[in-house]
Amino acid sequence: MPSFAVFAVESARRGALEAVARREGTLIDGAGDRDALRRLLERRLIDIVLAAGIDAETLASLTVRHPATRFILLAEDSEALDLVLAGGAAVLPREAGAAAIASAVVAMGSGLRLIPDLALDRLRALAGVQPVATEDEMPVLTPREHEVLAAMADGASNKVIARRLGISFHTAKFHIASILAKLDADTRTEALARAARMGLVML
Amino acid sequence: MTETPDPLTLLSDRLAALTERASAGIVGVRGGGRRPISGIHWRPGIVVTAEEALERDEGIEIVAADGTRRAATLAGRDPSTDIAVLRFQPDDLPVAALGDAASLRTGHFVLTVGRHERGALAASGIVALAGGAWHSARGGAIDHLVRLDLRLAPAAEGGALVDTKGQVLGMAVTGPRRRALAIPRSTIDRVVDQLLAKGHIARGYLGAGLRPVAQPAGVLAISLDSDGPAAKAGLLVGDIITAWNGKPVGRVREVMHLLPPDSVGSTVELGLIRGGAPAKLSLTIRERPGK
Repeated sequence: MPSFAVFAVESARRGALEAVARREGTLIDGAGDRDALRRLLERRLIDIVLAAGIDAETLASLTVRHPATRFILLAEDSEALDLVLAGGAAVLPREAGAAAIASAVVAMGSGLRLIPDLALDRLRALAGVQPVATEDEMPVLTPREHEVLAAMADGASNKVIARRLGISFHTAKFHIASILAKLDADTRTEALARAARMGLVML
Repeated sequence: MTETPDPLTLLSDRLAALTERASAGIVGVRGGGRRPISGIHWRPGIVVTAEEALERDEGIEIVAADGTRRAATLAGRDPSTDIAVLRFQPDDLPVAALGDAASLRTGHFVLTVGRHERGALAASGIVALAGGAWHSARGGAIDHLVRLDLRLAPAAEGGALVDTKGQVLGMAVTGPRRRALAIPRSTIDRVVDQLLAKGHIARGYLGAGLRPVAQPAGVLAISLDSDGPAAKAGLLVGDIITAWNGKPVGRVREVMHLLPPDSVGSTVELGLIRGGAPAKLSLTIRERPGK
């Protein structure tokens, strides 16, 4: 059972979070201001801090000092990325309920981090990446079709594809016809050109 | 009193004579499937045909003008230029009279000649578009663009593009969107030499699945072959390749064109965006792993 500390300035809010912490583990204590939280972390071994309304700067100082402690933050979407960069393990919407917090605890236990969608968009912008318009829907190929496509990309004929995958010549042709249909191509060459543009075959 | 010959009849007879002369070097190719295709007797004992239309790798037969059949073996395929090369025991079968496609201009009158099981199979039209060197959708380098204003019968695929002198200037194939086009002679010569020597055409390989991204313009690595040169050189999924030896790249197709046979073994300097910051990576292109 993980040990919890809770941080929230408003006592009603703190009470609600403490209730969740008790359900998910052992609640060590709640803190209503930053200094109280700092003292608590110095005194006791805390696995998870459940905090509402903490700023990135304060969080950064805490995560540096207590690297083994994980922080679940309830915050505005606009603060999410900064909180993640400051070492937060999970950022949830301000109004997140007990169920969302419980899933964050599980995800963190598996070594995962949680960030909201909006933070991902900001992350992309920060990385200078703009997603390409997804007008050419990615076709959904079966695992077998992926194997056939990879063989086609290597320049294998139907016969060679059949031999390589241990299937009959006619089955190979069937898969190829299906790939052509899914990629909306008349010929193998056209299908491969489209597949390459979608990143479905390696160059 | 001598009768003035009717020009239309003259033209018609001339076309028939051209077709007949050119067709001596054109063979039928039975390579599996229900439909036979055509091929050109390129050099003694060497036939070229359309790669995409040739289904089988074994048990291939060529059918001569007189209906005689000869067993042929596959010397190799190059899907990037749509050329397959067959070998047979050379005998007195006539070789096609080859000419140079570089002289073709848009508007030139041309024939295509294939071989149907019942005889020569002809079509006529003009060169719809004669252009410079181009790359096929699969990255094959083709010396001249020759798009034909005619409908190519499936049985005539792999047959000859013939000019008004009766010379074979290239091979007639079906291109993208079912358009008839011709692979020019010089490209065929080059591919035939390589296929006869090595049995396959080497293709450069990075080992990365790429998708274009708009901003910054480049191609994003979305998958990596862990044994491929890109992964070995340290490329990561999520890296955006923005430059290739200093030149910007923005389309996956451009990358394909940068991987011709002679790229194998060469080292390229990639310009990257990694985590928002520019980076550089140098890698050596390897040959695409075998079939």
